[in-house]
Amino acid sequence: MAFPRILVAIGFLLAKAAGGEIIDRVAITVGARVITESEVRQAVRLRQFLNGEPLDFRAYILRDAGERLVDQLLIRLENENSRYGVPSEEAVAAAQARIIAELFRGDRVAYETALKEYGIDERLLLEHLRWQLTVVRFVGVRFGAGLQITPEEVQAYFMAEIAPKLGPGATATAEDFQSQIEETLREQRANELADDWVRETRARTIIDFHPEVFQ
Amino acid sequence: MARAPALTMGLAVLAVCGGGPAALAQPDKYEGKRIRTIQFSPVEQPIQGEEIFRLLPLRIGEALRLADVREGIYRLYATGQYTDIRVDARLVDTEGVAITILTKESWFIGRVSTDQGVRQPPNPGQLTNVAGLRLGEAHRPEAVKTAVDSIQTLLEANGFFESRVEPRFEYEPRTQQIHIRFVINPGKRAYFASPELPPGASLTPQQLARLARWRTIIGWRPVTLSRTQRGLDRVRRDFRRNDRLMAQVLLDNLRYDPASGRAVPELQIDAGPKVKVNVVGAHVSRSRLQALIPIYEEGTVDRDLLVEGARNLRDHFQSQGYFNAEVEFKQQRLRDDSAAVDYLVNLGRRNVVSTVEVKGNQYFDAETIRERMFVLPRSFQFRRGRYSETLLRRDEEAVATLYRENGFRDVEVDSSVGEAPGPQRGLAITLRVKEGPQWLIQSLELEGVETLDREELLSRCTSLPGQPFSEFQVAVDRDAILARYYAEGFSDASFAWSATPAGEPQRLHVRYQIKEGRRRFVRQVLMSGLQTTQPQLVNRRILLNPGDPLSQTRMAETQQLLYELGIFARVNVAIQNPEGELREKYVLYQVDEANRYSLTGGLGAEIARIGGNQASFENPAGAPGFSPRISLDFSRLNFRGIGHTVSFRSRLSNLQQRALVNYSAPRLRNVTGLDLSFTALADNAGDIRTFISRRREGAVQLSQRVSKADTFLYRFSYRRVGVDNLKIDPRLVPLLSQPVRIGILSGNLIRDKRDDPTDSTRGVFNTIDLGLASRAFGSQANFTRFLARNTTYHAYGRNKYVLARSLTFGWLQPFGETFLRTELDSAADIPIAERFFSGGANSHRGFPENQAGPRDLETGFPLGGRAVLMHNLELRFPLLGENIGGVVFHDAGNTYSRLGNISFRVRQRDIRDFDYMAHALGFGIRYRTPIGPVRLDLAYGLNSPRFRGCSATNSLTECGPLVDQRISRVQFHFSIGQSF
Repeated sequence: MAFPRILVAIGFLLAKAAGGEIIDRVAITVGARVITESEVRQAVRLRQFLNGEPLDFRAYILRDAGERLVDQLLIRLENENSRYGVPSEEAVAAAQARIIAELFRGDRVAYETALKEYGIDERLLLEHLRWQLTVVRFVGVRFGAGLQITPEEVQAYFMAEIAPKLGPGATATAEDFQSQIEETLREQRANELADDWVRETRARTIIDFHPEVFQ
Repeated sequence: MARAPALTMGLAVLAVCGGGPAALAQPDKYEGKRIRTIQFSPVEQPIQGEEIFRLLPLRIGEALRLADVREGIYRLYATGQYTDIRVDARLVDTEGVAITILTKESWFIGRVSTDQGVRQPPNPGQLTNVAGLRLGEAHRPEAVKTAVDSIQTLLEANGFFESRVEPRFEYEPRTQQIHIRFVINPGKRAYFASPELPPGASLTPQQLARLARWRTIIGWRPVTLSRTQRGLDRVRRDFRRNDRLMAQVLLDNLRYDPASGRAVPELQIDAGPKVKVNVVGAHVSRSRLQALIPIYEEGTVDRDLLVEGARNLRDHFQSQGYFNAEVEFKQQRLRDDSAAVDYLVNLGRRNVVSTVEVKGNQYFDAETIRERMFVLPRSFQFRRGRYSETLLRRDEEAVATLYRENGFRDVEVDSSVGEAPGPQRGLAITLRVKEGPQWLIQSLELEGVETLDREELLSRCTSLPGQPFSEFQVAVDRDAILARYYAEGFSDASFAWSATPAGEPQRLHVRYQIKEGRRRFVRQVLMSGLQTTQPQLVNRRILLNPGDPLSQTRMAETQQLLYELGIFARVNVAIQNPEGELREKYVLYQVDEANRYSLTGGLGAEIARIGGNQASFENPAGAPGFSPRISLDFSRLNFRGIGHTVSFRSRLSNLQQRALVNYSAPRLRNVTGLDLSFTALADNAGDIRTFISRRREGAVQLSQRVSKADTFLYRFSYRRVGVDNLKIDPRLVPLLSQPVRIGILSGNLIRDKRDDPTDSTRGVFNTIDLGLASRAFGSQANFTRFLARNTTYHAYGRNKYVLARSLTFGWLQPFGETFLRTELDSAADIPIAERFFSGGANSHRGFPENQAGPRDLETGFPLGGRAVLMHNLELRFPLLGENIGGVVFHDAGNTYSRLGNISFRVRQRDIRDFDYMAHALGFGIRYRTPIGPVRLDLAYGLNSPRFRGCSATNSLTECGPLVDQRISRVQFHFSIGQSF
């Protein structure tokens, strides 16, 4: 009969309504590790804070943040196993100072106000900066060490990227920019290798996005 | 009803509020509030008791930190027991919050099975294997989908293109196991159809079908995976036989036509050029060439393979004595669909290895070093010695490794090859060793040991102060220490080591650093797959109990004990949720019961001096004969589900017809090594020329294995033995012609300390058998029986030579009354079928089978005796290569009429005297096979007995004229297994 079933359904829903709120839950599983929804939202806040974008938690933004957190978790696990080292506190402080200078024109009050608006604890921001520096270090050591840049590659880069900007009559040659070009190319190549590594590692890992978080 | 619409509206509102996906609460609302309660939903959790609260960083009465909530979710998920976790918070007062942790449990793979309805192939084991669902691992719906696809693919590869596969799940919530059964509706198996080939293929579809054996004269054959693969392999081999070494034969697809029920193989064939391999400058057979040049095996021609081929050829010629052989190759270009590879060989002078010297060694003597070398000087076994550059390099490395393993880190080993000096011809090979200093261990530190006994671990180490240092020994210590940790439940234990110079020269401080990791314990042992087997039979063999450390060793030992029951085809063992960070784990055993019924048949033959006509008096000493043999055995395993076995064994040959029923109850009263068996036997045997024995016997035997080497057998037999076709005058010896009932109680001790029972090189094998036949046991004859054997094996020269010897002594002593008396001797006697008969392949090779000892003076047929003394001495040695060996032997002894007549006299006094020691010398060939050596022995009797015996048969009951005869001096024996 429909009536008793309705009573049961009411009972369930009333119980649910009298319950509390979800304060955190599993959003993504990466092998035996998890990323929680609060982490995903935190990542969105940080990104939008650093980009000067308004807070927006639409599903596709959450999803995008989740994907990047998966990549970072894989790198974090590899870093834990291989111990490529951590950045110094001075480097972290310097990165923070750069943010205050570039985004807030040196105005610390405006910086702190913005942190409050975005719901970000300053320790969280520093942790984020520390992690970004760790990733850069990881990519550099893991994929960049030993990369050889040939003179032909330096020349090609010079002709494609630098020479057009020098204007007619410029006398500079590739050799004048060699060390910068080599560093740039090494960085690019390392990033490509890192992307490949992330792609391969993802393919080997069971990754599961919980749909209720990303709707 | 009027209320219904309002109610429905209200429900709709509630559904929107409570039913849809909820966003996270604002962080500030609960941060810092006092935690009043922490609950779990559901209340029943897979993690027991206090452990679950120990995992959480949240504590009642403390302030709620959202970072702690996140950490709690991490830790709970890391246990592997959950697929989803949500943390719910509810304000209970102005400062308090109630926490509810909502969880969704994981499921773990339990039993995976398929329906038995699929016609093989594929068999059920293949279907479950291909599913790829491993016992104990976390269940994922995607993995089941993949499993279904894999099973479907396997079915299609075996011709079942219309199959349907559906998984059915059975949940076991208490243990979080999910049992999956794949219900398979296979449909009909397809048949092959005419293959489709690309245009221009060098074969027609008909040719290919015939070559691949996909079609017979009857018609197209059913599709199976192995038939398809074998067919493709045949086609590839055919191309290779025609020198098309680069042929590609690939199956693109098996296209199924539902209307006709046929599958069309779509193939890609590229025959490639003909590649001829020539060897110039030497002769190599085609089969040898195919073995040496890897392009045949690999099916392609590239430079690396050709270089390897040149190296293999060079080694081959060097092993034949062409030690200076040089080989290079030249590839000729493709022309008219053919190419050639010429191997140019310069053999040089054929030589021998005269001497192999070792110089510079002090720590190890030359013999120890030579034991590790493949390079050898010439010998009986290797006529030219053994040498090649590859072997010499290998020997250098082997000797260097020997030194390094004993602390000589700086050892250098090199070699030189020159002409032997003086009148010796051939090569002189010298291995030079520069030992360098020996590094010793000054001290050994063991760090990180917190739970286990440090001293006990140190006692397992070989790298101790004062001992030579080597990385090899460190690895041995590492394995020993980690094995200990794994056995005690520390599956994450790790080992690192370092060595630093000590103050003194060539001394090192060695440090082992252990990280114990988490210790795991057994939560419970779960057994699945038992259908007819009684659980208590299995439970008694489980070595793990709840609360025990999770020992891999014990898990493996339990698995072994279950296999030893002999009733399971497969025993899988796994830990549930192996990756999860839980303290206690379920240990899973999944068994597949073996087929309870087995039927085996066999064919065999015996060739020896065994024959002659049983129905006549001719050839009392036997004649060369051939006895084919058929055997048929039927067994019912796991009788009544308690691991007992009922078996029926039969054998049929010219010489023997036997039927035997046996009931075996191993592990009596659950005592390992205590086995009880009951046997009923009907046997007609004609292996003794004098008579055919008809034996009907019942026996009960208890065997007790007291140690690895020692076994006791306690046996009671009751038998009725009659004789037919008696070749001697029954009036003379009525005892010998009447059926006799014998009840005999016997005990046997077996001590087996051989290294290999089928082909021993070292050790000892002793047996002592003592029996008592008495009227108290219903026996018509009273006698005692004693039979003992001592066999020893000694190896020399790296186990190349084995000296084997065996001494057998037996004695039968009648006593008391017997209702059967002889006319000649009023004393009690031993029935003829109970006497000792010896001679033949396994006792005295100077005699045909059972022909040694006393003989009937009227007919010459053997009578057996009441005592036996036999000594066998054999030298076993390699003859040709690794598998063909030779033996020279000396057999001495005889069967004697009674104990008092045992003598070492070598001459037969007269034609009536058989109580002397017969000697035979001989040699034999042994061919090693996986089941033991096949042997042919040829013996020459130095003093084989003469006797008077029947020459022809006048009638079935009369012996013809007696003539002087002699056991043939030359005897041959062909059999399997060593003689002793």
